[in-house]
Order: sequence, then C-alpha cells, then structure tokens
Amino acid sequence: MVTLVSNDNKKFEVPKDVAYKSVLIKNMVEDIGDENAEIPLPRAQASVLEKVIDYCTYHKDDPPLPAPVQKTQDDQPDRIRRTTDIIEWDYNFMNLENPVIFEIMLLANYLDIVPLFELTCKTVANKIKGKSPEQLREIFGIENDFTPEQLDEIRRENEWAEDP
Amino acid sequence: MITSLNDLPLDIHTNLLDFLKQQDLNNLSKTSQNLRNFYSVHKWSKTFVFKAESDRKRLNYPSVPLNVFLSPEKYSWFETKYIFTIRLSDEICNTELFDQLISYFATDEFFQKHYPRLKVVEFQNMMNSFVLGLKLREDKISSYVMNWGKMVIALSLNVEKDSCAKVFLDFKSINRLHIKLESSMDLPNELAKLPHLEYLKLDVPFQQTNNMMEKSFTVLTQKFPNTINTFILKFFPIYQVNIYTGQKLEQFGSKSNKLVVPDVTGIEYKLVQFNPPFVFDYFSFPNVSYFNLHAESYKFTSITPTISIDITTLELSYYQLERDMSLMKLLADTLGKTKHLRRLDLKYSRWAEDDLPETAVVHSVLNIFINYEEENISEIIEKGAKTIEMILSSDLLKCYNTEPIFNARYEIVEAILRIIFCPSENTDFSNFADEFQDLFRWIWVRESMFKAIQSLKQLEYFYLNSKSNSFMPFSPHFLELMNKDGNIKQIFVTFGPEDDSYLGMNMYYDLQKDHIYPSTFFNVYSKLFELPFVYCIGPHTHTQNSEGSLECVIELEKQQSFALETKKLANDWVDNWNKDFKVKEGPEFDGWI
Repeated sequence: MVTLVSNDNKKFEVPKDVAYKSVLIKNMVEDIGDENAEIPLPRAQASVLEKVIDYCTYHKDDPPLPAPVQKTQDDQPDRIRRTTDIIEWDYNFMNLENPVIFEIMLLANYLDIVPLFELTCKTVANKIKGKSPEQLREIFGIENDFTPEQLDEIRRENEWAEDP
Repeated sequence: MITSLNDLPLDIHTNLLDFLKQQDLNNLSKTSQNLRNFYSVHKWSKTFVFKAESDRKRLNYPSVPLNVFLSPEKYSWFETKYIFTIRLSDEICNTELFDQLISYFATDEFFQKHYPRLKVVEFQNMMNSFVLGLKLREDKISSYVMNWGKMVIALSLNVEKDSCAKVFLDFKSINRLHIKLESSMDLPNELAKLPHLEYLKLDVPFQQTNNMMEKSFTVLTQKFPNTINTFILKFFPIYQVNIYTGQKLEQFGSKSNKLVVPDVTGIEYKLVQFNPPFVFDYFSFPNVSYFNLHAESYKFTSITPTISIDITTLELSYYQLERDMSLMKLLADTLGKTKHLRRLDLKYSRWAEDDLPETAVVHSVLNIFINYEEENISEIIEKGAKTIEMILSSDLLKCYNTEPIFNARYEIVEAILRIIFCPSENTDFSNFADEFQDLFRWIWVRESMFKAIQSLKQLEYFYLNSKSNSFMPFSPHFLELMNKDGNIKQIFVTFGPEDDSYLGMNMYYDLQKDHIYPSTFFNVYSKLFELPFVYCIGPHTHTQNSEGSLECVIELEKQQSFALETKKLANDWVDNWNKDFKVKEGPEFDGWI
C-alpha cells in the first residue's frame, strides 16, 4: 500500500497498482526507495484526491496509453481528436460541476495521469463545442472584460464589406 | 479553487486545443481578454482568403478578404504570424488586387515579413497559379513543378478534384506530392530538386475506348529520386487522350515484352468497362506491393493475373458479390494465393439477395455450423433446424411467408452443411425448389470468401467497409471465427445505420447466448465492440454527414457500457493506416497533398 497525504493533511491508503497510475507518484516512491513512506501531495485537496483515487481504482487494469507526442510552437495542428469516445463509467464520473472538473484536471496534470487528464479535456471540450461567446461566458463563468475598443475590434472581424 | 475557464493555466488550454474546431477557438477568443490572447493566435493556422462574402459562408474556418491578406499591418486582429496555410478562393483573380498579389511572390520579402510561419499557399483555381508562373518566369514553364528561389509551384494536380495548385514557400518543406502525369519527360529531374520528397502520387489518364495513353508514360521507366519511398500510380479512365501526345498501348510494349516500370510501389486502378484494353498486358511493375482495385466484381477476371503473390496490401473498392460462382471461386482462389497479403480492404456494396428472409436463416445457421466441425452430424442438423424454427417464429419475419422454409428446414440444414464441409462448384441442389437456389449460391459465395480470408495467415489488418449494417457480409460472430487463430491484429469496420429504403432484415445468431438478434446498427455496433481486435470507425462515408447517423453514434458511445477502454485508440490506428498509403486526410483543405 502507498500512503498519500493531501494538502489538508488527510491520509489515503492506496494499493500500489492504483497509486502507480500516476507517473509522478510512481517516480516519487522509486526515488524514496521506501514503498511504505508517506507521499506528500501539497497541491492535492483531499476531496479532489479522493475523486482521482476513485478513477485510478476503476481503471487500475487498463493498458498504458502510448506516450504523447511533444509539440513545438511551429508544429502545424494535427487533425482534431475525438471527444465522444468516453465510456459510460467515465461519463458518469465526470458528471460534476465545472470547478470540480477543473480541479481534477489540474491534479491529473500534476500527478501525470494521462488518461484522466485527457478525459477532463474531452469533457470540457464537449461543453465548449458549438457554443456562442455569450453561452461560453455563462457556462464557464467568464467575465467579459473587453474594453469598448476591443469589442469594436472583435465586431470589425466580421465586417469585411466595410473594410478599406 | 478555480471557478472559471478563464483562470486555467495556459498549458491546460494548450491541451484543450487538440479537441476543438477552429470555430470553437474563434468563439473562445471572443469571450475575454485572457482567452483572446491565447486562442486568437491558434485559430488562424489555416486561413481562407476570399473575394466574395458568399465564399466565406461556405467555410467553418477563419477567412479574410484579399485586401486584408495583402495589407495585414492595417488589421490588428489578424494574427498573421500563426498562419501555416493559406487557401486562395478561385474568384480572387477577378479583382484588381490580383496583380498586387502575384507581384508579392517575386521575392519572399512580403511573406517573411507578415507570414513568418506560412508554408503553403493553395490556389483553388489552378489557372491562377499558372498566371503566377507566367509572371515569374518568361521562359518555358515546366508541366509539373516550378522552382522560383526557395519557392516551388506545383502547377497541375489531382484531376479528380477541381483543378487547383499549391505554392510551397520553401521547397525543403515538401515531402508529399500528388500531381498529374503531363506531356513532359522532365519529371525525375524536376523532382530531384525536392530533397525531402518521400511520397509521390501520379495521376495517369488513359483512354479505354481506343486503347490510348500519353506517350509521356515512358518517363516512368526512368530512375526516380531515391528519397521517394512510396510511389503510387493512379490510373483513371478519360474520354479522350490528345491524339498528338498519345499513342496506342501496344506501341509501349507487348504481352511478351512488357515495358518495365521499376520504381512504382503502388497502383490504384479503376475499371469502367466490361472489356477494357488492359494496361497490365503491356506494362510490368516489379516492385508493386500495394494494389487498389476500383471495379465491379464481374470485371475481376481482367485484374486477377495482375494481383501477384508479392502484394502485401490489396484494396477492393465498391466490391459487389455476384451470383457467378466461378467468378467468386476465382476471387477466393486469388485471395488465397496472395500469401504475403498483410492488409485487405474490402469495400462492400449491396447484395441483391439480402432482402430475402432466407438470408436471416442462412446467417444464423452458418454461425452455428461453422464452429461445430467435430460434433455428431445428426446433432448439428437437429440444432440447425431448431435455430431455423427459432428464427421463423421471430416477429421480424412476420411479414414474410416462411412456411416453405419451415417445411424444408431439415433439408436446408443438410444442404448448408454440404456447402460448408464439401464445397464444390458442381454441388447439385436441383431437388430443391427454385426459391432456394439463390440461397444456396449465396451461402457458397460467402463461405468461399470467408475461408479465403481465413486462410491468409500473414493477414494482419482487415478493413471491412459497408454502406449499411444490413449489407455486412460477415456478422460479428463470423469476424470472431475468421480470427480464431489470432493472426489478424486489427479488423476495422465501417458501416451505416439502417437504410430506410431497404426492406430486408438480417438477423444474427449469438452462439454463446443462444439468442437471435436483428442486425440493427445498435446491435451490430455493440457486438463488434465486444471483440478486442475489432475497431468500429464510425458510419460509412456516405452516411457520416447525416445528422441522424452521427447522433446515433454519439448516443451509442455515451452509453457504451459495452466499449472496452482499449477501443479509445481506434482512431489513432486508423490514422496510421491512412498515413501509410493514402493521401493524408483532414477536416479542411481536402488534404490532397
């Protein structure tokens, strides 16, 4: 068992194969050299860590995903990846308020759990797709902080006929 | 706690980019200053330049009028430094700004200053790029590609799409080229100027009605640059070859002394006539390992000698099984001989008998028999007859008169057994009523195909492409049996939802559950998901744009309690499949290079 300690000092006893879904935790345990040592996770809130452990427990027997290709700024965008290939359990697991999804997303990224991070990306992308700027602001709590000049510039993007 | 999308770190947004369309990036860039700073620089990667507003409405990616493209410094919102590809509308030549545009190609100053990452300018209308070529150089213009400084202009391209062309701003960036064979013998020399060219596809027109091709075809006997590792010839029929630049096939070579085309590695061939002159009688392609045949099955006799034992990839497009048993035997035999075949792509279309209720009987009974070789024969017959009874009692067949099948169920089962275990073209079923004759031919054909594919021990990838689930030649259970030795790593399946105009109904028998289920889209999709080596890659292209079918797939995928986790990677594997031999595809720009 591996003991994970959240930033509010709550301890979670987790089987090794579950904990090792996180590349970060696996590396930390190997670096410490003591499988019984407590692993402090200062960026992990207990309530969010608990959700992440639920995910890793359900998926503990999944085969590892291939390593993602590192992109540079000069790489042309590849084809758009699908967002509908989410299994039922994951779909239900992600049925959460946006702030919780964001926290799981950040923690999955920090702990280097690629499948969970991609699941959160797909979930957020599904909420973005096809929405107008006004709808996006409402769904994701985005404040419209454009200046009048910027709003005018955005408006001009669509007014080709009036351009000089 | 982060409560707004606005507050997520930029590296998270970078990952979100992979899953969003450019229209979504555009909308995100209009929500807040922070998101605008991030998303607006990404949304312009592929940009369309248009003349008329009507052009722009057809597109779902960013677009600007020509005057904005030519004077980007006047438009602060136009993030030109992130543009990789520009496509120019075919109407821009009708503007007074066209001369200005052409003049900017004379040096790379304009593009380096305003579009530092731009790699390709695509002309929707090839004539516009031809004008560009004429303006830049007054001497004779190559038919294929033209160099100008670091630029390369590919003037004549894929003939099956609207004429169009590309200007590569840096010849070093070219690694794939798809052009049409023209009346010039300079091609190898022109291509030698492209140091990173790996993939070359040449469209080769030929006139089947009078047996003519361009004389320039002989250029293919020359040595092509060593950098090219995939060299595909796409033969396609045209109405008329220029009589001054063309010649008869027999003038290229003869059946006993064929013209050798050494460097070609793949061939795509489309047959449109019953008795065409046959280019493979006059040319030989010793290094071909990929063959794509686009033809009806009754023309298969013409092609069969060309499919050599060395072929590793075979695609049979729009393949339709016919009643001609000898032809099907030929196909099965030919497939069986391709011992090195690693990939088989079968595009399957409608089978005329699929609307018979008997097909449901056959499909289900075959599912039982094909897996019961060792059992007592009388037990098998009894089991088969019971299955037929079960099928006939189904509500799905109420509209048919199934009494003759019920009365002859034991004889039908015996006949099916004879076809499976003792296949012979001369099998006599004359003691059966006429209505069963087609049924038995149908079983024979499907069995032959099944056994031929099953015998291909080197086969690693099988792509089964049907328009509708009703026309699937092999049920999920058949695919499971086909791969009982486990040599096939991946079977890709594409099929569509129920066709409203189609009256027939197939049913499949689930051996494990002793249950009969109708071959609805949902059922077939669910069953295929249970097979670890089968990857459903969405509806057939003919139906994938239909809103209803897409909704159906999305709904199924949401509910996919049947989907294995590993299936998530299916799309990536299909991408790899396409990368190997096909033109790179993408959601925009047709991807013809």
